[in-house]
Amino acid sequence: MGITKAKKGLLVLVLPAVAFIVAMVGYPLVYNFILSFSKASLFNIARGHTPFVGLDNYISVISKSEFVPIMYNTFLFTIGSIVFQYIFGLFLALYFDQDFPLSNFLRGLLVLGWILPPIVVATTWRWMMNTQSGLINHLLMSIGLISEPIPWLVSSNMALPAVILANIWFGIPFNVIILSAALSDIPTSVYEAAALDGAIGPSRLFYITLPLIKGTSLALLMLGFILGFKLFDLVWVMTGGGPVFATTLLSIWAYRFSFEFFEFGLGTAVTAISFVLVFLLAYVYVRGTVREETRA
Amino acid sequence: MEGSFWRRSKKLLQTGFGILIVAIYLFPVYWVFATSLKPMKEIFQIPPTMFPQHLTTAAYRTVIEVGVVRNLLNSLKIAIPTTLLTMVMAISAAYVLARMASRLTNWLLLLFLGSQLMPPVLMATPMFVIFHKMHLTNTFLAVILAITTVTLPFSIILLRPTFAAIPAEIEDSAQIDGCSWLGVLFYIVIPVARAGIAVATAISFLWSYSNFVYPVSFLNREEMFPTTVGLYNFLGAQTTNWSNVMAFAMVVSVPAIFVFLAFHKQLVKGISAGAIK
Repeated sequence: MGITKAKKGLLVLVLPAVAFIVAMVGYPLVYNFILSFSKASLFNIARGHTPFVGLDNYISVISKSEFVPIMYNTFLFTIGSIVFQYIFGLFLALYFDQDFPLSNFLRGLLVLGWILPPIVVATTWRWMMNTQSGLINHLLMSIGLISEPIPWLVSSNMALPAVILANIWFGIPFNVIILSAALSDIPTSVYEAAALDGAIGPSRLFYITLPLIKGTSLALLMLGFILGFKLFDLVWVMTGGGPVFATTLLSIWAYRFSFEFFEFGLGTAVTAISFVLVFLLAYVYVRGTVREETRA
Repeated sequence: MEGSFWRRSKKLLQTGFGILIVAIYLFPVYWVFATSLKPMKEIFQIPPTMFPQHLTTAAYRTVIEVGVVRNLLNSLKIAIPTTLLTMVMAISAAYVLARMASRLTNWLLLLFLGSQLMPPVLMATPMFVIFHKMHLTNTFLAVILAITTVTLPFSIILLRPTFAAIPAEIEDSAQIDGCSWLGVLFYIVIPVARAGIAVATAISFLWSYSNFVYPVSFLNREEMFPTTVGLYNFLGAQTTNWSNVMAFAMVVSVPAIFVFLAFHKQLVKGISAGAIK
């Protein structure tokens, strides 16, 4: 009896966290939506007068000529990143899943790439992709792949691939760790039985391993998508969104509206669009996995 | 005998190739380190030198003069309170969510999960307006509160399975011995779960330390900048002296690398646990 009473009283322990999230996340989110429907730039924010203007900000944002390229950039960046982060992550996870000396230690070393502040990663890659003196161009030229330096971060064609490459590097360790955990859940007896049926090598990968880590893989891809939309630091420090809008993502566009032009109405509108997109995808994912789980 | 020789050589080859892969992957980290120790002239040499030919710590001296130490102190002034605030709330909340499975707690879990969908840069705009109205811009408090919204949900989600894995019998017997439920939390649960708590603390610290968006949005006084903003400004100011920039980057990385070395085994286990759940 004493224990159950205490359990009801336990709820008070969860209050601080809930109150904090509601206040610090919920309220700004709601306020974000309100601002997106208001005329809000630095001038009238200071005076506290933000008149309701309905969908004006959204229309203004969508009708800008850079809207479509920026949406395209955001999706290309996100999807391009997660595809290769997953592929490289899977390759490395499978490789270090094998039993050889130092396999665990080496896999743990990879995490070093993930714990570095994104700012440091961005700075590093910016230096390595320097057109004249960067290491990347030197390496590519010395093995004969290219004859002239590639203007990675200054050309509107190469800038987006450049930031995607840096983001892939940054995201690989996370994928390796998650996939390694999923792989370690597969009992060796499954592999042994499969081997008896002749499934080894590529067919084992496609018919046994991949299906068994499907749940984790989908969760990982989903997380990667959300993280891609959330990403700001890396691209901002590498290119500032440039040249012109070549590497501008939704997150960067929102930031520039609000903190460079102080057009909070426009910034929050872009923010709202980004949020709705992520939310829709997360919703589809959750519905999909719940349905699968109830079916199984 | 032949079989085991081939097996052993195959394993050594696998290790060798594994070392090669990790070396290639981590090469950019080495490159930052090497560049930071080269003099300006050597950086632009073609072909680039693998090992610094003229070792120099000039870049580090410059970086210290510019005030990187103050940046480091600011970063700690932000990261440590944020981590403390996060862990106090996260341990409390995660414990409740682990011990009380009910519709209410499920909704709460969904709340915490959903709050992670928000990109920080999204939140910066309304947060800035709110902090501005409360006259909290240019305060560490604003940054601490903002970063906690990033670290708190993840820590709760990470810690919940850790607490759930503790058998209830341990707590029950402590209570029968006369321990109040708060005592149970402090003297039994937390010590038993200290590995998971260590991971959540390490990750919270890393994320608070590495945060760039919130400090750069809410602070505009140079003497308050943490290392992330400091590096960003330094990068903008130094157009060609990359050895200085790399030295700054190395200094910025030191706390992160330190945490990595101290917690790396637990980190690996913790990342997979938190993300899958």
